[in-house]
Amino acid sequence: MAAGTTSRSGRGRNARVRSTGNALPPHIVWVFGIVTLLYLALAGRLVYLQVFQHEEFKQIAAELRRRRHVLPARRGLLLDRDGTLLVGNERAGVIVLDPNLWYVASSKAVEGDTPEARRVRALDGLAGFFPDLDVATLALKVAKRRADGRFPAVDVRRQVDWPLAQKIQAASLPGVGVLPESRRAAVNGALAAHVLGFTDLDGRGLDGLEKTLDAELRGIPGVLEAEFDPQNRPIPGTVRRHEGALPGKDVVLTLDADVQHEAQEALKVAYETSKAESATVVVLDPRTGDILALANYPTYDINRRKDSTAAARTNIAVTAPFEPGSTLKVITVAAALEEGKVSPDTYFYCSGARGIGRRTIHCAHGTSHGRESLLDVIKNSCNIATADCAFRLGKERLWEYERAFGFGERTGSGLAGESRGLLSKPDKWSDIQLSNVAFGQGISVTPLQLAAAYAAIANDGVWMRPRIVRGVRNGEGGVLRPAASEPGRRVVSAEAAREMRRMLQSVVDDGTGKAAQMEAYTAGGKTGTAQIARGGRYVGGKYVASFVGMAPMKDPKFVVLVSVTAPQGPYYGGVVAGPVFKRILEKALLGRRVPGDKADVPGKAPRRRGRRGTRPILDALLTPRPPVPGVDQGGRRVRPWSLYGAEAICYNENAYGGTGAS
Amino acid sequence: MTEAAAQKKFAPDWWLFVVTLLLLGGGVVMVFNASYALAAEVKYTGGDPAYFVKRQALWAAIGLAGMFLAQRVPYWKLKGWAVPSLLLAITMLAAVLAMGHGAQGAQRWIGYGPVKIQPSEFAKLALVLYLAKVLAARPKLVQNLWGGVGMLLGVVMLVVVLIELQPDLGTAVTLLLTALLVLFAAGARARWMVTLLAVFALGGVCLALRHGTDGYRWKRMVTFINPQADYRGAGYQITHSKIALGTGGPFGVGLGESREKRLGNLPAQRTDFIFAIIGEEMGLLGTCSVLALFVALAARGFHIATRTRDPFGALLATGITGMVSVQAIVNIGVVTASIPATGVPLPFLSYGGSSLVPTLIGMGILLNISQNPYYRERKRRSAEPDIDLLDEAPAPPRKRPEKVPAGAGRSGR
Repeated sequence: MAAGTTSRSGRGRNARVRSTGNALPPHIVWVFGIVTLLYLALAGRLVYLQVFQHEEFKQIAAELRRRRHVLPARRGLLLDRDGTLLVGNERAGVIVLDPNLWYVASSKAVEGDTPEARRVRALDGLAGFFPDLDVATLALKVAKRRADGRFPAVDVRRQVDWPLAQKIQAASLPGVGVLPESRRAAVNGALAAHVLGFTDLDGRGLDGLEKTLDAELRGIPGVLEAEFDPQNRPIPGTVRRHEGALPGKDVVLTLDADVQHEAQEALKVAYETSKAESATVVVLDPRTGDILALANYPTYDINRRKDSTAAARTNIAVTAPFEPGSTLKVITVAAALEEGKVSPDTYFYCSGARGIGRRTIHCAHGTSHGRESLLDVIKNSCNIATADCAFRLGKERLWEYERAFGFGERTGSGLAGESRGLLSKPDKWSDIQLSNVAFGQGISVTPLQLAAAYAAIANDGVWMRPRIVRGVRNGEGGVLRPAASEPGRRVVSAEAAREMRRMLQSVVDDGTGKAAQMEAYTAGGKTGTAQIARGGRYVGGKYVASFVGMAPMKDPKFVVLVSVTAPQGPYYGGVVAGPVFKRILEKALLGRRVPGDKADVPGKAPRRRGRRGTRPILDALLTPRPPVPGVDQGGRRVRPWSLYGAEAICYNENAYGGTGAS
Repeated sequence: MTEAAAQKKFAPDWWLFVVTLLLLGGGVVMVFNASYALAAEVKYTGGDPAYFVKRQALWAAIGLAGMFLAQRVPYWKLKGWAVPSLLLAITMLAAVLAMGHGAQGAQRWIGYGPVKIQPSEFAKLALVLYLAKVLAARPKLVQNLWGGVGMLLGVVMLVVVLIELQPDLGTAVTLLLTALLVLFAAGARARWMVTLLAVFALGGVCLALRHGTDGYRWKRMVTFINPQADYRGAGYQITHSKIALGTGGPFGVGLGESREKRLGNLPAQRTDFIFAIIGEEMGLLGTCSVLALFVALAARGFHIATRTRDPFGALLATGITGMVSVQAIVNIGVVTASIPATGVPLPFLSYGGSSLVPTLIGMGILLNISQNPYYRERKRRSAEPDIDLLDEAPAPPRKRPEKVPAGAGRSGR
């Protein structure tokens, strides 16, 4: 540096400049003095700020940064009886608009970029992603929020699909941010929608099992109290309190996804072809009371519940009692049989009409069945003879049996919104009411109650409480803790139940339920065609066509109830509901590898191989089967009903919800 | 005095050079320190933590080259550039107003593509040069309020208003204060200066109140008194600046440990508010060291001014030193919430080449002046150089006036 361009003598680094004559007036000394004084004043100010106010500012800084974050707990999964995922969690985004970043221009200079332009750009960009967004209201809200609060970001949209959220983030609109959050996602939103229900935006159960099992599923949120940087990340070393979230428990349901799917498909066909008002199906395992499938039409999609009506979200199977009609005769006859008032050898005479007090009861369509056995009573669905059974029993007895079979009280299955139905006290019954109750009028039952009553007959007379929760699993991969099993309640003897099953089988074999016949399995059931009662009067021309039955008859594995309300066209229970019953049972029995029992001798079944028109199930099991939806070649369960790949579901999503800040 | 003595050349001022290098080196380090967290966060850096410091280092290199170059140019040759460069600066300022690039709602840049010039920074040097030249040529001007000081202030105000219109209040104020400082150093009466300062301050308040007490300018002006009252608005930056300084304490939170520098806390942490980050990381020790360096710079600069016999050199030295000092005082005043907030970079330390390069060129000029304390224009050799200097224009030689005004006597030695 020191080297000059010239090399005159006398110059050099250490040469002292002699005092020169001053070029300037002495003001320069004042200038230096003033400048130095100002620097000193600033130094004084710094001493004040950095020494005397040090503690104060440390406090302020910590307060500005310290926040308490709620760490959301992973909501428990809903699984079917075999552990197939039904409802899980997936990553979604909260789109937020930060008022500060929105108002203040960023430090990056863009040509022609004014704060106003940026504001408009942000709003226009958001409106581009959400066409229904009310931009004006949002702008007002943000402007208002800007004035107060520490974390004043405004939620623009919640539960946004993650890919869309990422797109919005990539668009880097001024002030617009994306925070991750967890979203409830059903693998197939249409499957068992009425059973599973849904949650609100914050993951609180609102309907269905999401509501009734909320306490199990919810888990316990954690707390993180620390200083956070402006990006909402905890600053290391400042954590004051950290309690991890306790994830919710996974609940294993009794539903069988395959049976459920088949039941819905079959029901849908019946519902659509008959143009009915509604339709319901319930599938029970009679030995345990497990609800294997439960579906209603009209239905909705859990993942798109906003598009559905309240009517579509009604779980008819448990919330809407109906007058069952003929299907209830089975209870009356079973009671009379158990009480010894009738026996299989008892014969009745039906003249088509019978006067009771001032009124007359008829058999359907004015037919008379003449002399008939007890079996014929069920097979013919004879009102007169059933009323006779009821009179032999008496009001009290019949009422007791109705209660024993589970009518007039909630089943306690664990499903949301169960109705107890309508069963009035017997001391108020008139004779005509007694006879009406005997064949299913003047009494209201829910489809689930009715299915459970038939399950008692299928289970050799022991009524099992229907249940939907098979067990609870503690977190991912935890051990299944089975739900407490409740001993059944003996309603009728095993002999009486077997006798009843014989009668029910005759209905399918050569009675009103022929449409329910299966090729390989024996089946039994009872049809019902009841007039719809609304507001105490019967609605003309509208019927509930129902069929409740079971298979196989020796040791029933399934009880299936199908009811179709107000079908157009044919309205007989056997015709409308029978084929649904058949389709569901065939699928369910195949899925359980139940051997066919219609062959004269089960062991001889393979001999019938190749014969046209028959395809026994053992044959089917021994030969390679064509692909069946829901079962792949290895017998492993797949999900033909999966709308989204299973990868779309985050099993262990524990999203760090920015909105959890307090 | 002989010809040889007059042209005797000395080594450049060693201490000024050292102080400059210390400030420059510290500045590059602090720019990196204050910006890496930000650079890693924001998009346009491409996630490169060294994005800003690379650019700052480049600017420092360019600035140093400019400094060496300026140090080699005999400063008296700049005399001839004074008027053209001022005219150029005014033209560029006008051009910037007509078609400038916007940054944060202001028009400050001129240029095309990556080459951008901030004419206001260039205008600072040009104006100082111009004032030094005119005042050296006609020393008596400062003794005349309307025809002298008034006329010169008119030129200054033209530049100041052009810059203020950008709007760049900070640079305008810096420039005005520097001009007043040069005028005072040249001999203008203290009474006038104080009055002028009061008038400008009043004018500034009126300007700020143009839109009433709700206006942006007024809010910004009074926010520094209680910045927390408008934490989310105008007071945000000042609050965080105070928090940064306050949490620093006497010894700081440690180098690299600043929290306020993180994105979203203290805006402009690498530019106008880098002093706050220095205060947070190195505490009072760091801030006072910076202050000491600036005091040392002022001391050396004004010392050079006093010992230079050539009035042009002396005034130029005063102007350059004054410019750097005023800018530093205004910046630190803003950062410590001692004066209303205006955007002025801290010389040497703030990120940005448009401030750094002209400052370093100024230092080069200052160094050259320090090398030539005895320089005198050859034509004017006199037995009484001191009186000569004050009263006579350099060329063409004129007759001494018959009457010497009262002020001239006081200005003499």
